[in-house]
Amino acid sequence: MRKIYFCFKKMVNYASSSLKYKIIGVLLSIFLSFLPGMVFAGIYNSELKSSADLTELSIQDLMEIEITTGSRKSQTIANTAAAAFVITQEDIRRSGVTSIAEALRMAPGLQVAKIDANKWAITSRGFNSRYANKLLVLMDGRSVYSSLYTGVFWDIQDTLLEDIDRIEVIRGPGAALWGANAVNGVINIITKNSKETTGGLVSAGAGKEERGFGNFRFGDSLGENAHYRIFGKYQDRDESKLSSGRDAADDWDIYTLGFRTDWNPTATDSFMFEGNHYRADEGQTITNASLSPPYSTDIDEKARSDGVNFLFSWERFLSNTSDLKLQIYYDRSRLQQTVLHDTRDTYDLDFQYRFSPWDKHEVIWGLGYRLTTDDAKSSFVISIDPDSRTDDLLSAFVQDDITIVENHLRLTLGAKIEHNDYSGFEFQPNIRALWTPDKQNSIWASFSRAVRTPSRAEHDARTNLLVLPPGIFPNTSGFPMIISNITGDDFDSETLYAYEIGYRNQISKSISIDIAAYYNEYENLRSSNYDYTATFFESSPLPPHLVLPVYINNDVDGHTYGIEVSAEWKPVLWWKINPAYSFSHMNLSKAEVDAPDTAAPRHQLSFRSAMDLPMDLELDLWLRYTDDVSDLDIDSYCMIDARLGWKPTQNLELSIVGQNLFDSQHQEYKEEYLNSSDIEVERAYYFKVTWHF
Amino acid sequence: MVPMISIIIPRSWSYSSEYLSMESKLKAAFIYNFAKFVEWPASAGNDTTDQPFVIGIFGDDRVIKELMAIEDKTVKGKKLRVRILSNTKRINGCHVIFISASEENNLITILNTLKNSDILTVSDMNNFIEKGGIIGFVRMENKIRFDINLKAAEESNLKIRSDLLSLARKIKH
Repeated sequence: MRKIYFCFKKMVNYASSSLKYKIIGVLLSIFLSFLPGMVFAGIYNSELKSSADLTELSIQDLMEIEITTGSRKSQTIANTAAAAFVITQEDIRRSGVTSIAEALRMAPGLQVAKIDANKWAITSRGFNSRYANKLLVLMDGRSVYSSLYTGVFWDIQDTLLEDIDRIEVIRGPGAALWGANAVNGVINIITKNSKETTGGLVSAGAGKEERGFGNFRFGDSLGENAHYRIFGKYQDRDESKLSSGRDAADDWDIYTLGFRTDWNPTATDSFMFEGNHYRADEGQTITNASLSPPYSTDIDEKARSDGVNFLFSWERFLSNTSDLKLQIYYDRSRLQQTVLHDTRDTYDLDFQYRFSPWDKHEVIWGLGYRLTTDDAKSSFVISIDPDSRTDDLLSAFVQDDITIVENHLRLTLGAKIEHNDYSGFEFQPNIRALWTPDKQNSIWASFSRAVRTPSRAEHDARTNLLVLPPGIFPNTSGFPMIISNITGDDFDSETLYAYEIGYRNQISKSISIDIAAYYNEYENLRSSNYDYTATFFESSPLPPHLVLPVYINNDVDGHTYGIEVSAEWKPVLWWKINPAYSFSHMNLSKAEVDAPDTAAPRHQLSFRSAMDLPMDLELDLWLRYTDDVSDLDIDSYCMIDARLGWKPTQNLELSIVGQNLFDSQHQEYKEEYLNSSDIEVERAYYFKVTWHF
Repeated sequence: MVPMISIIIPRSWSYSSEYLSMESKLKAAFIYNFAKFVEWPASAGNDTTDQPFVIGIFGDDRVIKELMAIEDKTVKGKKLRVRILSNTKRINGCHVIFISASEENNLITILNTLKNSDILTVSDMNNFIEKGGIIGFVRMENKIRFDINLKAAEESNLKIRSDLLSLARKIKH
């Protein structure tokens, strides 16, 4: 808390010293002048959203509430002018997945590849990599996009899967609301309100690959209007196989502990406070370069990732068209491995306010401030200079949702402006239109600009990828030669102009289809340029050596296009089928320049079937096809997962799950930087017992 | 970043699951509120506060779910408990029984068992009070109203306060 206080004090002190802080000052004063009115307006309103709230009302008030008929959910997804997909709790449970990363394979347009037992490459609409940098991910509103490297470390994004309410996946830019790095998509992982998780849950299981796991949760009420839950989980996973058939050194275990409390002191206010702590010990093999023979050694090590985070939010319901939300979070993440130790603290404050200033207009605006401080301990392989740094991120957005023809045509205009310490000001607007000719059909289109901002590593890191021994081609000199990734202050943001279009049709009560297509134009994509003529001599560290620099620049432009189709069909009450197909194509301007992070399969197919059988049995099958990734020399593969579940009583569930059943092992991806071995994903199965009490 | 994904366009998306069952939430809130306006005879397990206030339900999972969400609230100083009823054997100890419209075929059996039983019956089926029930929900456009059968209430030894009666759409004597 002292640190938070300090950062705000600093913010105010600087408020007149520079343009940036002048802006903060203006934003703060706007915020403060609006706040009292918003806080005290609409203390009471009869249109409320939960049953606990409703019971507070009198019968007269209840009689005034209007019911919206039918399934609002499918209507509202149909009313979204973006490529949206929702993975529900039921989808997660029935898929048999044991991590959030694996659950994302259900969403069309995403490319999910497992690099090794504890690393994933996940992206939306191309550009996959372990450090895939164009997909923003949030858990209950807390960004888990790494500001050290770009991208998301999926191994540590964990919570009790049973307590996830849903995972909302938006493909395409969401930057006008969410800010930088929401370039090709946004994922929001939303956990259940603790009101919905009262009671106990214990589950445990074991099998091949999942060596053993255990979960517990307990929730209860805290007086009249408050609830809480606490949870813990532990997972121990087996190593995968190298393509040679030998075991890789990537076995790992992770535990996560957490809590969430929700409090509704009045009918219009809801407060939420949650916290998580995790620690993972993860096996990996890294290529450690050095200046003395043998110059490059593969070492097996256990890397440790741990962290803690707290999030507080307050929402006030003002009227049917107006509400406000304030959110504060703190996140510490720490990574300890041979080549780098990094500790990172993030403080984030966000505010948003929604209101209807004129008839047919619904306006949302918001302000955000984020402070990141870090402390890195460099090694010969990765050196970060300066080793400690404090960065600010300021943002403001506004969006107007305009009803042009009631129930038929809507236009949304929005933009976000933000300032970061690497690329300065960024402006990210979008325009979206939604046409719903009738209740079954909807057509949408959008145009957006989004940016991917430089990360700390892209700005301040030098990576010594490889040391070539003296006299070995192309190092004809008598000195060892380091091949080094060298970044610099001029590395700038990558820019996207996205054109999207989509169509949805609720063909009948049991069949719906969703089609989205895009054309994305990229500028200033990251490139790495070898330049032999730029080779220079360096005497520190000893012994003296040559450096062949690989400069990180913004030299690649290009475009991608693609189409995603997903459908849902319930032929009978007890059977649900979800097919999905994604196509993406990439065309980059400078093929001779090495552009990392560009590899993704062209075609992907997913076919899920969920059957409720007699005797309380559930049978789930999930077939996936992924095209080859020629850039990385990875073959196409077709896999099937199967799950058989049995609920002998309401409180007990037994299940057996088999994963990747078609092949004993297959490769999905490669780590590009520090480990070049070919690691493959193995066939797996596990048995699980879940008990609710 | 705060904005819920829902506001990428419609705000309501994030509350979708809540809107889904708005009607059930409303009915649950009505049922909870009705209890405040009804007096049970002393014999109906009302003498001690450590016994729960029990609402039994035939059918309709959604209303059951909504009522379960407000369990632990108190009604007349007693903890609210929800009991799922599949046959007429477990009705003992119930103060209120909600009979979903889906149970219309079993209504006569249920009401016969409930005769003179000190239990308030509520339902959303058509013409419920004509069939002998006590409070029947009526859908008027997009709002919920209710009818009261005072005669049936008296037969069940229940007193309904006049302020509730004044809100009823129609009263059967």
